[in-house]
Amino acid sequence: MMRKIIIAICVFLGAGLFTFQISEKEFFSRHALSATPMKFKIPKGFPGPQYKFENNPLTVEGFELGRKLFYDGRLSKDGNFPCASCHQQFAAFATFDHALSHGFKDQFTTRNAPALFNVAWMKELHWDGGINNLEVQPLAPITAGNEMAENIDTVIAKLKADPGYRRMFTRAFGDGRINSQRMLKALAQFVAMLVSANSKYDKVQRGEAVFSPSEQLGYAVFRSKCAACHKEPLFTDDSYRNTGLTVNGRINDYGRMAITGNPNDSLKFKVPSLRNVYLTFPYGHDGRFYSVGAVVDHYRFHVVNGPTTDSLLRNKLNISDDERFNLLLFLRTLTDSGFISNKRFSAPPP
Amino acid sequence: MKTTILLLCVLVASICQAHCPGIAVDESNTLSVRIEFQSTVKGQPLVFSQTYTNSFGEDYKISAFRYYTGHVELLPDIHSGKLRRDHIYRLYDAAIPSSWVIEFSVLSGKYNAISFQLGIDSIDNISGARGGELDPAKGMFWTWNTGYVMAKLEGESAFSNVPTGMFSYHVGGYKGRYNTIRRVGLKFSPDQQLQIARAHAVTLVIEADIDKWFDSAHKLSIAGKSFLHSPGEWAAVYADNFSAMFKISSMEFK
Ligand code: HEC
Ligand code: HEC
Repeated sequence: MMRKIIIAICVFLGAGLFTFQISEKEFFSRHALSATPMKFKIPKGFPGPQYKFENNPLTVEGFELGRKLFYDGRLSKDGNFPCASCHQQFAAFATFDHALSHGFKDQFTTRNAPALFNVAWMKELHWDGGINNLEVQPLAPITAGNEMAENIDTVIAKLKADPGYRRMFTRAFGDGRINSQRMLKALAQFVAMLVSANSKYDKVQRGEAVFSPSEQLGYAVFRSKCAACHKEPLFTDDSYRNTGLTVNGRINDYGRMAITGNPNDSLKFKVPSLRNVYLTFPYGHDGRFYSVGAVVDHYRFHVVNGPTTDSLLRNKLNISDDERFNLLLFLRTLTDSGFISNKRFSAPPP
Repeated sequence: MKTTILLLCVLVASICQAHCPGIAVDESNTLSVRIEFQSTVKGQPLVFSQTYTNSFGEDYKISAFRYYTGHVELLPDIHSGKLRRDHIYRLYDAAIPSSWVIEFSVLSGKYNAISFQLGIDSIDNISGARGGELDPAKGMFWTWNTGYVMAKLEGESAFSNVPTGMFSYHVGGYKGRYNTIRRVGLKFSPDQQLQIARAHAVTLVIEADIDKWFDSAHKLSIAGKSFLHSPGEWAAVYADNFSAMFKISSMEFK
């Protein structure tokens, strides 16, 4: 009896807290439950994602809204720079052939636009990890003067003026209210769904394909020289490292240190994934490398030691020409052609 | 066992008080609290166009003063713990009078102090896109190094070391030793404590003296630093001065 009373009280108490929680994040109205739920599939062998889908339940309608926003130039000041202008699907959502992307009034960004896939597994975003949650990431490009150069209120006003958006927000969130929170949650749904896990490498892991002898040898080189930082299966360990690149004196980018204020983080940048690496040319945080081979040669010959250079690279990497050849063949098996041709991720029909 | 249940009931009641504003409470048993935040300079209400002089003899004019408050609590005189009464964050803006007032109710009783937080909890700095007062569109959000600007003071001075003659302090940061979240506690006088115990309603005027931004816990001249737009050591130093600006200027009871 006593027990039951206590349990009842606890339930009551829990319910009280719950209603309170709901009012805190009221971005979903009750009707939203009628939107079609969508599942985030974790590929075999992948860890659980970092992005908390609990706070942003995936729905077909939310994803489609995010997709439309991603391809919509109205998110930028002059209408010319949607997210997709720098993040191009055929380049695994990196900027193809541009060391630094360009945005509003032909100004250049100070960093190379990273590819976008498996972003849901990232603890922090951007080369310096300055962004702590996928949902707020779009605020950086939208408001940066050299990227989309727009302000949030103006973007929201542009969306509100469009009956098509009012319909899509209603479908995704239950009513037609348009605000920054809903726009950002929808964009996060689209970006988080960009999962790439169907390369030849993945098929080999699943026993559906086999490496050629050269690829197999290259894989062994990769495992011994690269995998400590470019850790499988994501091909990044999500850490920040100094790979011994010299500072570009015109940009003076010290990476992670700008975020933490810690001199030990000087010149450290986030380890990028090597999946789809043959699609994301050029390479490095400032796009200074014009081929994958050039990056490998940097590790072999050009590492410059400074106080924060990674201990794994201080003595450079001892890789023979043969090993380099096989390694590059292995890296080609990381291309996921199904990902870049997936119609669900391409520009929505008008 | 009985006492356990009793204790649980008290707990439930107090949590409901705090979290379920919809639940009606017995009128005769409540104290309505109204807090008015005021910006002053040396005791006089802030006037945007006016030129002031700080303790270093530097002239200054204020053009913007905004900050977040949250977790307002009245502290009961027994040490039984504080009663959290108002979880909600509010963005105070010296230019928008409707943002100056906070109203809520607590159980009447003996209280001896008021306490509130300046800034946004770390968890709310890392939990993605938020709405309402925390909407990034309010302009109190760093987009390149995620986190809220807890307080913003902007203006101009002949002593500014920025070419435009402006000064601009954006204080924020929620990590480790560079945390800028501060809690302010302001005690009631013995007479105010007596009166509040008998009152149905209290209006507190809390003033923040902007002159202390430059000179209180630390001496921070405009010439020494005119521009601060990132978390770190300096932000934490300014947060100390900021939190020392507050005092109760009056309490009225009904
Ligand atoms: C003008 C080019 C440009 C535009 C437009 C742009 N981005 Fe980016 N994006 C970049 C660059 C450059 C970076 C790297 C920034 C850094 O590291 O400081 C980046 C980084 C990112 C990242 C982090 C990836 C990682 O690996 O850390 C995401 C996610 C992203 N962008 C999504 C978007 C979305 C969504 C939009 C549209 C709202 C958008 N981008 C618009 C250039 C752009
Ligand atoms: C000590 C950790 C570490 C090791 C070991 C390492 N890398 Fe890297 N790698 C990084 C970091 C950090 C970057 C980003 C560097 C930058 O731009 O500042 C990077 C960048 C790259 C890039 C550019 C990717 C892009 O999208 O811009 C390639 C390609 C690459 N590494 C391949 C390799 C290969 C192949 C090996 C083994 C031979 C290897 N790495 C070993 C840490 C490492």
